[in-house]
Amino acid sequence: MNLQQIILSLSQFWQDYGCLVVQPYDVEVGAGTLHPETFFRILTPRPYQVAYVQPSRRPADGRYGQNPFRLMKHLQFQVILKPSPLDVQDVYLKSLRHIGIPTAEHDLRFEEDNWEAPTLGAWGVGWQVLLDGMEITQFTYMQQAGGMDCRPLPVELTYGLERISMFINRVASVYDMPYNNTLTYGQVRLWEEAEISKYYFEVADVAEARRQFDFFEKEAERCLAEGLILPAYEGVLKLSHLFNILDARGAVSTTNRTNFIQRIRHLAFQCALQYVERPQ
Amino acid sequence: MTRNDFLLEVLLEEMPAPEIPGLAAELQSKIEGLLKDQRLEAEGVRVFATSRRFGVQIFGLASEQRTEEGEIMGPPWKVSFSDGKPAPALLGFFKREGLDVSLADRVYKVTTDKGEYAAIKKAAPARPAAEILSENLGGILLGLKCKKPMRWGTDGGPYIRPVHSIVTLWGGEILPLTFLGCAAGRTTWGHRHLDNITVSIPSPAAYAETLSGQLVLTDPEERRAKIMAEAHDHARRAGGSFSKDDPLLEEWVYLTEHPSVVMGRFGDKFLALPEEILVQAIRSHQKSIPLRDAHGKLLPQFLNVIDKPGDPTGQMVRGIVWVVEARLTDASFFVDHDRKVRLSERVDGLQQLSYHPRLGNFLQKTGRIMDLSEFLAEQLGLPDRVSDLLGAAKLMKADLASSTVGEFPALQGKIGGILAAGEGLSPEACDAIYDQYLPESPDGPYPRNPLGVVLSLADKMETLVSLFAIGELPSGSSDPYGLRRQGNGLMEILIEKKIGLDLDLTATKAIQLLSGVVETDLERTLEEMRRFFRERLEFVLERRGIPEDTARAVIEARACDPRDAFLRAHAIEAYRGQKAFIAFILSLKRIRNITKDLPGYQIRHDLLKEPAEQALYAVFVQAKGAYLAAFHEQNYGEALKVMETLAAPLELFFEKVLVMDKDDRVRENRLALLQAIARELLKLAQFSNLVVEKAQYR
Repeated sequence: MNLQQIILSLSQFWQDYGCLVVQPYDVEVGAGTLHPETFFRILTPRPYQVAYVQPSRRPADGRYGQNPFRLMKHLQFQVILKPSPLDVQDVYLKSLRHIGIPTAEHDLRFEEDNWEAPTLGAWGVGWQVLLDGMEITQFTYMQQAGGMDCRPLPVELTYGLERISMFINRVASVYDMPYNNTLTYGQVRLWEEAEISKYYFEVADVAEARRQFDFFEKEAERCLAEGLILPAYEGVLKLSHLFNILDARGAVSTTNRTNFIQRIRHLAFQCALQYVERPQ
Repeated sequence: MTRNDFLLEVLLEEMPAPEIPGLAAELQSKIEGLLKDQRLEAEGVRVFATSRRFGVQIFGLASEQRTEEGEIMGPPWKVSFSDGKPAPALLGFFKREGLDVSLADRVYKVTTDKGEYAAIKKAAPARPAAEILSENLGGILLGLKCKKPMRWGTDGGPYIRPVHSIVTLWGGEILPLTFLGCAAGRTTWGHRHLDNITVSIPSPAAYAETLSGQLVLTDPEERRAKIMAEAHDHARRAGGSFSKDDPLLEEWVYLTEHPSVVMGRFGDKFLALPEEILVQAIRSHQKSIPLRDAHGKLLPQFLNVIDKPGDPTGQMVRGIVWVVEARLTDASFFVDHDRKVRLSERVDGLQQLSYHPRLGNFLQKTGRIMDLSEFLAEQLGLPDRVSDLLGAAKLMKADLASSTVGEFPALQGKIGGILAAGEGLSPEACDAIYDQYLPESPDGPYPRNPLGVVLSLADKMETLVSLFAIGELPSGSSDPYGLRRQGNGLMEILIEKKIGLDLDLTATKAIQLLSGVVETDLERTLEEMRRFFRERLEFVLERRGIPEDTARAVIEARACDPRDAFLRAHAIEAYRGQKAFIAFILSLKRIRNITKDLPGYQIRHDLLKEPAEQALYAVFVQAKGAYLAAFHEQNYGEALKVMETLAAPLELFFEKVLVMDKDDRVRENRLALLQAIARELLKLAQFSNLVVEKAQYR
């Protein structure tokens, strides 16, 4: 099964399960959780089931396309089920078999790994799912988002699509894996990895990134004052991405990190609060 | 009495492996406690746990409580009998309790603070074990502690993980119980490997065997033995060894239900990587155990565990090797990248690395650490090491700009130490860079040489002072910069390495170095630092076994030199339990009470009238010289021994002399004598803070 088939197959599986299947968000994010379909939807009591692919940008993980395993941008397949069903582990295992992983023939383990996004005031309890030692999924029962308790509790499944596809196709380099029947992942994406890694690591203007950080912080505050939640939240996403760029450049120390995170989190909290309190 | 076996099994989603042993121990002690409190006899209690189930087997459990006579209280004594015969009040009581009137001669009198009452011994009814278990198990299970309880679904939890089934068997029967929405039954699940195979447990005794048929080894001991045997087997074949106490081995026991140890081998080329990086990549990311040869050198083989009966085709181990090599490939990428630039060339790059928006960048911080290191070298008597020290201090933060540290943050400092070789520094200076973040735990390790000690002290002091100067103080549960840990480390080094250092002086110097960086109020910052240091010192002293009151007593006397406070605390502890010392402390408490809030008076020995006060004065004058001599040599044991000679004269003084004399001059003179004694002793500790039970003395 090539990458494209895995994506279609997972979408089919979760559509059949009853999920709304939406498209990626069009602002840079570091993880599928930042998509408003997750960040805001998990805050309300209404049951919700959604699945989507989200390309996730992590500037610090860029390797100029030279590392066979690490990517500046990778694909996550994200599923949110609210409330979490009691058989979610079984359904998840079924989804792996659906995309051609004979789970009984491999060592599949759920090892404690509690997910936390300090910039979003979000955290959950769960596992990384290891398939013969390789992490293929982050499995999280979300407990809080935007600093607020989630009721009922959503479960979030984040499949690492490249990892899963490499595993299924037994290739040693991500760039050799088949995207579809004629093109490799490398033919489709290597150019992007090489250029954008170089941009983040060498070319991006650090001083300007700092200024933009200040700008989007003010912009988000202004939107919040106008009651524009989603535009404010897009500002938060911009801040988070700029922070990641600065971090990739080694421009954020441990001490300074705390300060940046506090600034982003403050705004994320405000967005969450306004969303929950807005008139229906 | 009949006996029966009992079984409880809770099946849930995979628990955090490191927490399972503690959970099992807590369950064991709570079940044992329940049986004891409820007078239920049993031949054995055995708790078991795997990655996703835990429970207890109670063997030979008595089906009823052991009977025990308890005292029950009847009516007041005076209305219980008339003319030696049971009166109506007593008869009514007998009727309520279901007692036969013939037992009236066993009634006896009990005196309580409410008066005299009739009482009788009566055997409490023996309740059935099943009933007691039904009543109590839910509470016990719910009360088991876990670090991060979670919720799930609409109203699940909070509990360690979502619960899927409960088995409770009393002999062959199901014991009715509902826990977190699960009704107890006899059905559980086999190993995940078998895909949802359910299995019915016929009886408690058949539990372990039934489950091992479904690939679940419920007994941790059995899994541990299997892991150890297989690990040794592999290691022998590779000609390598590993530490039997490796904590990962214990983690493996609880990561699995049916462990098998596998051995992988990464490409030899990766052995060229620094050992620290290899070990970090293999251990922390993959939970694998590296093997070493007879000389302690790393081998390319490593051990890992799979939760399976075996890996017949070798495909699982291939997968694991693949992931480990991916990690190492990535690590090589960083190391190669970092080796292209000399560490000294990275120093200027620290300008780009902001330390804190209000405190400038890491190049500036490095400058402050260098100045502070020079100051410390002087304080600690290392003036001839200054150039070596400054060479190391200048490079110590440069590895923060390296990609290897970006990828393996836990290796900060260590990478610097490795890269520093080839910069013309002494090996000692390289080690000092390597050790700069030590100690990372109170058990050490500590910096290996004096240069490392200075760098570690200077770095910690600079961090604390600069963040305090901009008001980033830890408060309550909030300590986002981890300053308490830094403070503890500072104390631990000084105590462990037996270094006397005046923290007041050092902090003052560090604050002065911030001039031009931030506007600070020296006095205010210094006062906040002092308070912080006192708290940290108390914490560290207590962690080293000093009781709270002693810690507080020595800190109140003088806190700015942690090593000195530690010595004083130790001297006091050596004396504490002794009778004479207790008497001495009681006298000192008395002095404190009498002289509290009074102005200082002068002793005039011509006003000493009573023999007891003259004697006390004489002993004090004689002791004082020896005391001060011992004190200045920090020989506090000796100092205390000298002052203890005051104990007996003091006691006599309080017995024979009335301090509060009518004559003002006599009274003030007596107070002056007591004040003088207290003043000397206060240099050592605020003894009146020590908690002494009077009963201990008498």
